Amino acid sequence: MDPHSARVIGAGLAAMGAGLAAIGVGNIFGQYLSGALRNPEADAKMGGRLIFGFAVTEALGLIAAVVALALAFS
Amino acid sequence: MAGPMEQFAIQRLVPLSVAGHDVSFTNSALWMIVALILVSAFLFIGTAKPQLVPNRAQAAVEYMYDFVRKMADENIGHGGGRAFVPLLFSLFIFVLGCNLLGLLPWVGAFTPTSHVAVTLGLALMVFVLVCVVGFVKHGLHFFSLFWPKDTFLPLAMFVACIEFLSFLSRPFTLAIRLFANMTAGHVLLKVFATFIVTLGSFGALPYVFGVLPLAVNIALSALEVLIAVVQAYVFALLASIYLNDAVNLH
Repeated sequence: MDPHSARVIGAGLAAMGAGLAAIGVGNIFGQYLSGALRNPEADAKMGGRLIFGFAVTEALGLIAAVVALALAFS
Repeated sequence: MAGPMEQFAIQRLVPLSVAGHDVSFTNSALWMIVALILVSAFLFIGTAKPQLVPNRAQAAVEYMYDFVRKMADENIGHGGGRAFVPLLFSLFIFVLGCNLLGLLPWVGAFTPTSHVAVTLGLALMVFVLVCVVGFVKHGLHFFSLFWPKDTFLPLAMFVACIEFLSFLSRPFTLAIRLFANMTAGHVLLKVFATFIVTLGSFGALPYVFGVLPLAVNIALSALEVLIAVVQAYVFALLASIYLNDAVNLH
């Protein structure tokens, strides 16, 4: 297999990591929503933690996406 | 034709060289200076004529300062947050300005924070500060940060190694989170822009099919503004959490 094809196939495989990170992000927001449903007063306090949890989970998905981009475009 | 990655190319605007090293003035430096000028103008105009009942500009500056001060007070316990508010405010508003400037259309805007060199510089500054503050305040007792309390000894040694490695990876995750968010977002915007041109130049029925990618691109631009603000907030928030580790060894 020549290097260019291998690189493009690797990019496709790496991009699957973004889908796995999407499950994690959905989990964060889902737990926040079910918690806000049970205890609406905690909504304001937990808002900052929600954004923080989303950002650190999203970072892992984006690491996979950047590996895919780096392989696909060079 | 240009691809989606060409927007991140560094162009030397004024080639300079010091003792054989390339210190040219690049488009990255130019847009960082533009961010600095805009931030300074915002702060000067907001605090020019301070009144007890603030006008709009002053209220905006006060809102931002209170936001950063509250974040520092909540995350760096026992009153240690007050000393670090200038650093956290500078980080937050500089990263926010750099992130948002890349979204300007038509002026050939460049996002300085979409390069890992810039974000790694900022992240390493935070990491070195955390180490210096930790060692100055606690001396060698700083290493007790990695030791879990009241655990079985072999397990504690194993956990200490893992904690130490995770501590060393902090500047890198901080840098990669910011640069990957900016890069991926801007690449996505460019890719949808090429869809607009491709679908809109359908010979028999021009422009009609180009409306859908245009609508998606508008929504994506709004999302990118949100992500720019969130990533700036998360950078400053993580810096304050790491400083809390150094100041009050949890």
